[in-house]
Amino acid sequence: MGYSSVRGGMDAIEHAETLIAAQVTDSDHPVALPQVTDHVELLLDQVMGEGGVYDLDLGALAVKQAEGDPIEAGFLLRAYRTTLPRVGYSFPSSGRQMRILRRVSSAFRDIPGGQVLGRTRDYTQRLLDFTLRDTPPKTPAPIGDIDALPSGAAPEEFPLVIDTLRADGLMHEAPRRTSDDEPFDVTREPLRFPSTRAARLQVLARGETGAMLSLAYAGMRGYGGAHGYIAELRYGDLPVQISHPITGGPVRIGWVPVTECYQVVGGDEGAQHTHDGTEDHEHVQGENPEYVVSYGIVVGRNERKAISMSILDGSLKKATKSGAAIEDEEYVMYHIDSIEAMGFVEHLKLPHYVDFVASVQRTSKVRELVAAARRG
Amino acid sequence: MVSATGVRALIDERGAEFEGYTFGFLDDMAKREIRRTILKAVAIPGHQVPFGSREMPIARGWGTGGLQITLACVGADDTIKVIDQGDDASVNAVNLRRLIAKTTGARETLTTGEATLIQTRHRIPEERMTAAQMLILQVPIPEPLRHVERSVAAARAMHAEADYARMWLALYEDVVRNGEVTAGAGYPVMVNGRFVMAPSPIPRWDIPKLNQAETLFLFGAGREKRIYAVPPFTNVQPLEFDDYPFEIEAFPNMSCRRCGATDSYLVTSPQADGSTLSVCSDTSYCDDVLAGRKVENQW
Amino acid sequence: MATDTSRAPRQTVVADQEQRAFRALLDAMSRPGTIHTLPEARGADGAWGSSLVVMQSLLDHEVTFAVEADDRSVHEQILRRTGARSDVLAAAGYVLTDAAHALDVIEMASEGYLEEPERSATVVVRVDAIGSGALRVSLSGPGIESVQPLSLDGLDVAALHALIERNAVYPTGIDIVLVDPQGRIACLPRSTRIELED
Repeated sequence: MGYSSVRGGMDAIEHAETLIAAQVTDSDHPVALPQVTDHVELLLDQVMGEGGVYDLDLGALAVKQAEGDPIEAGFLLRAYRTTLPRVGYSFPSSGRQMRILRRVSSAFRDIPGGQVLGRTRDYTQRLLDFTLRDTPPKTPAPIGDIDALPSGAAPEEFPLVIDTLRADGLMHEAPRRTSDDEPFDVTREPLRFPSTRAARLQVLARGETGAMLSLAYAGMRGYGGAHGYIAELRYGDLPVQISHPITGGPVRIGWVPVTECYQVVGGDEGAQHTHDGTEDHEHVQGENPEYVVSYGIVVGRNERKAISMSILDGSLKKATKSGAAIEDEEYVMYHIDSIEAMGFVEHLKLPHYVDFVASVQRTSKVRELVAAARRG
Repeated sequence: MVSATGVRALIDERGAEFEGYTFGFLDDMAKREIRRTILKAVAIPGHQVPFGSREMPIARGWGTGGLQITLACVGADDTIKVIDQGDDASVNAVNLRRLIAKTTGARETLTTGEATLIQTRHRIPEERMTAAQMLILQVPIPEPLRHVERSVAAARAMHAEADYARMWLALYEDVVRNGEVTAGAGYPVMVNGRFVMAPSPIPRWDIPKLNQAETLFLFGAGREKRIYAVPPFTNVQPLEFDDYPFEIEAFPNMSCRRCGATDSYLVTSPQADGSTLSVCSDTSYCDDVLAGRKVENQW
Repeated sequence: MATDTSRAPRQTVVADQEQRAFRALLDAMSRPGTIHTLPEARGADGAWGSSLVVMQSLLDHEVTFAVEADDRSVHEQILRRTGARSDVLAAAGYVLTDAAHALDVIEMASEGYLEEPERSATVVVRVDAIGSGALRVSLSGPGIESVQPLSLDGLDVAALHALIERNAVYPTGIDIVLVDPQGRIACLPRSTRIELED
């Protein structure tokens, strides 16, 4: 603090900006945006998902400008997003329409359509590859002999595993939409509790990967998690369809890559859940030993978050709560948003000296009272 | 410097200044929603009205609630002042003020008496504000019951029923344990005899100013998505017990090292020689006293 | 001041009118019973012009409205100017009425809930004149230093009795914006105590 002139405060800010700008641009190896989009894709996906904007160029710009800080980059995207007019609404897109690039099920040895391992690090050995230090300018030999799904396989080849479970009577039917109400929009309306599942899933989809991973992990270790099986974890492209301005029919305007996780929670555990998507809480414990689904969906490739999301969704849906924090929707929904969390935690850097004077005066007063009491 | 990057981003992104952005950064629909919320808040003094808080180019917790109110209110005829801890020169205050100015062209001032809109963090100006002015307070935690009831839904029910028993109990326990209510900044108040309200972390010194003031107070919590208000001439009373009356901070035998004032809220800084330096937290008031200008500071 | 504002975005004419109308409303709502003037606005002429300026400054397609008036074209104009969604009187967030229908509206409009008192109707009542007229009231409560007198022309006393009754269980209740064709406004928020003078 101090009696720096206002000009001084402005100078300080402008100099700070200059220092940042220099960090982002001043070197012999400035980052070009295609380097981010082509080679830092997982960071980019995380930033776009948490920032709530799917746009590779803007996302790459945010990553570059934020010096790779995923939360800062997500914040830049959110602040930009808020200035964009909402020109329309897309039709609902179902996982059944996904153009599959990867799908695995851990609940079954094999599934209709087959398991597609796809691009994953799960079974690689985590050894630093020193050959990457000097990257050859051209890509090595093309991936010739892998029978890949180059542009994604047709959706009908890969029926949803939960549809199979439903057909077998192991799971409840998919919930019917009970009304034509627009889904709750967490970017336009403040949360109200108890919230709707639509609101919960939106908040979870924008939540921070690390925060959600941590809560889901705590849940799995016994702090209120929903123990289930991954019926299906899939990655691919979902079509975005809008209403044709003349015919009114759906017309596809593009694809958005997403990761989806369907966890089934069953037996006694499942009986403690309300059913998928409805607001009905009539379910009685032990009445219906069927499997229910816990769901996660994330923009881009982010399986860690999709699985974490499905665990949190399952925990929040429990009809019988254990009292654990991750079954408490206020606890989970208010605390996984990294952009709100980082703002508030870091605001402690702002001056608080007026409050501190007030605090010191109260502390001194209590000390005087204590001293007076001791003196009798 | 998170907030600075945000602003820088906008400037770089759009080439120059805020060309291409709407007046006041927020789009017209966002402004309308905030305005509707403000009117409801004024009609129900002290009641927290939820609103669809927008993402701002300033970090949550750094004044986004106050900023959204300011941007929804500000017009071509306004003169704005932004203070943090009473100080116009605090970097976050400077950053907010230049964002408001750059997106609206509004006139800026450092002088309390010249401003029509004052956005503030943690202080109410020493100079008595008038009916022609508004004070917009940035709020970190709008829920005064948060430390006795962490659930938002449960706290809301308590407000609905005016059931403040647990709040009183907590204050009573504080008195039993410590000999007095130890809340310093952000002392809870009762508004219009109905709603317990968080006045934002202003010192006790400023609490009496809220009562029966000439000016309108608007409170904005961006991260928590709440707006509330204290209209002019409204009863605002600190929660207190008859035998443990509320008292404000006192600065006995102290004066501002810069202007000599003995009637302002002083803040202290330790000096290299081991002494402490006390100065006015309100820099506008300090300037006035220093220049020999007489301003009314009895609220 | 240091900030260069020469390239700041300009407010559009309509946005400027809406902002000025809002500030007049804010002043009026903060100081119940005091009379404020709406800005000169495009389309503000005619019997309903100033009422429409108020509606336009508050409404968009995020909110619902209802109109209770003999002139059916008002409803159409609000739809066209704001894009707000039409709803039944008991559910609408914003209601525009003339003095003749004010009693019905005040009796029917939504008063919100104890937990969410803000989810109540704001009722805009077009009266013949504000600041003069046979109906005289004394107001007190938040926003008023001691007592604020207000005179109105064209509003039936029964409507005010109904309002006093509707707003008896604070904090639920309805907030009234009075508008006259000359562009004057005054507000009666639910927190205001109303006493009728003889």
